[in-house]
Amino acid sequence: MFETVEKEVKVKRSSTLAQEENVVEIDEADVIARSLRGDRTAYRLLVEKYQDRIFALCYSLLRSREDAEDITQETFVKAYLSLKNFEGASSFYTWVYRIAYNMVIDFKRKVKRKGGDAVQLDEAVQSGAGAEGIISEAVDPERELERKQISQRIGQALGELSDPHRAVITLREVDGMSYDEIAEITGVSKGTVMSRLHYARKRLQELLSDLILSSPGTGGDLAALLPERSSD
Amino acid sequence: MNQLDPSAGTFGLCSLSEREEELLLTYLDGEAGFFTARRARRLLVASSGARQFAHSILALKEQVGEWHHLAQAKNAKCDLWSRIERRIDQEEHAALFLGGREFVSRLREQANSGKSWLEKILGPGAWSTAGALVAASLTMFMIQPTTEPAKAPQLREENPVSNVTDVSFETGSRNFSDSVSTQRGIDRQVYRRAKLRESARLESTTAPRILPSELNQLTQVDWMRSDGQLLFVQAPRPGSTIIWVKRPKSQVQPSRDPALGRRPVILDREQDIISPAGR
Repeated sequence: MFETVEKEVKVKRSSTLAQEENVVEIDEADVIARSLRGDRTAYRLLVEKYQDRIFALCYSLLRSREDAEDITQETFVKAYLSLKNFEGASSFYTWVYRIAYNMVIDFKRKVKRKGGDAVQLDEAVQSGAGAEGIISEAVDPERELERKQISQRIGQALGELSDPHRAVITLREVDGMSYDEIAEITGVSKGTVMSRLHYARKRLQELLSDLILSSPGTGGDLAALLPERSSD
Repeated sequence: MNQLDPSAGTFGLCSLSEREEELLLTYLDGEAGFFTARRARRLLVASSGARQFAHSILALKEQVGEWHHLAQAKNAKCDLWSRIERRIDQEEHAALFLGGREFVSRLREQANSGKSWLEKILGPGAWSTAGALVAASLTMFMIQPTTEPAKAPQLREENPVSNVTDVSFETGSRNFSDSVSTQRGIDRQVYRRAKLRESARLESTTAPRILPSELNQLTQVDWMRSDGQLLFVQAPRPGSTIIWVKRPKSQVQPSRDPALGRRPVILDREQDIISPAGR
């Protein structure tokens, strides 16, 4: 019985993106070695494998599509040029994430120094229009509107969080990273990661209480947790 | 079966302590060890508040995951690779002139790695050794007779800008504003003649560069290229800016004439020093 619960939790642990992306199985060590020899085709494989995840992190922190694309692009440029410094102590994707995270932080500092109002919220985020590509596939217009509203609400709630809190939530819930990996990327201790996750979730719970309460999607997961009671 | 009660606190979760919440979060994140997981399961069985909390966390995970999926839907259409490839080309082209980038984050990683590069090279006690070396260098520097100030007026007559480089490289005691102020009041004709002469002589050197004031009205400097060692000096006269770029020794061309090593290069084209990325 416990094993069933474990399985459910582990399924949940894998991220939305990880679940839905077309995972390209490549021998990373080989691809990196080829990239180091200047093989752009090999490096392209790495880019295509991780670009969506890196974009998701940048977008979550910057909340502007254009800026997120720029930083994603620069992350991969920087990674390519610094590839010789990659010693393989951590996985390639953790290393790239760390570059992306630092670049976002630097970018935001730069904007702030210039007197900018941090980063403006993407209009698409505010209006929920960013989801058009997917939403238009929905058949039911009511459902479409509902998803749009939910997307807008969640976007706004995430916007209420500070950068470090938003970063850990994204890395955990979107990328499905472990606490250790998040700690490595953000350069803080595992304890700090746990504490930030806890705070971020509590805050989101407060802000999205009505959505969460009416959420039908987690019934199965909770049911997987509940049989424990009946068995004891 | 699992009716949540919004009227009781935020989620009806008031019965859970912070530690219990952390226990459940660790479990739901799949980070719990054997005993922690067992405690979490017991808690879930025993407490309706725990189950409500678990429900809300799972719902939150789902919502946030879906939001990201929707929010980045458009990005799938973006041809990021062609942009990246273009930028890599630009960077590699720029590296021919300015040397490869050494990124600050690399330094950060080294700083965070627990063992510094100095310790890796020299082993334990590296900092003491380095401190002793610095102290010895300073002592040598201080007891050495200074002969350079006599040269400065000559250089100023011959080449009104080269003194800036000499002063800055050969003395650590004078600050940059002193150096820059020597440019004030230079006759423009003299300056242009000197510029042409120096450009012809020093075209290929990679020594520190000085950007003439008339070229730098809208100057952007890619500071990362200089490994964070770039000094940006604004002269007292508006619009006259000197940009110093310290290059790693490994980047210096072997064919360079050592006699020219400390001379400045006067740029004819702004693009020579500005990042081709045009950020």
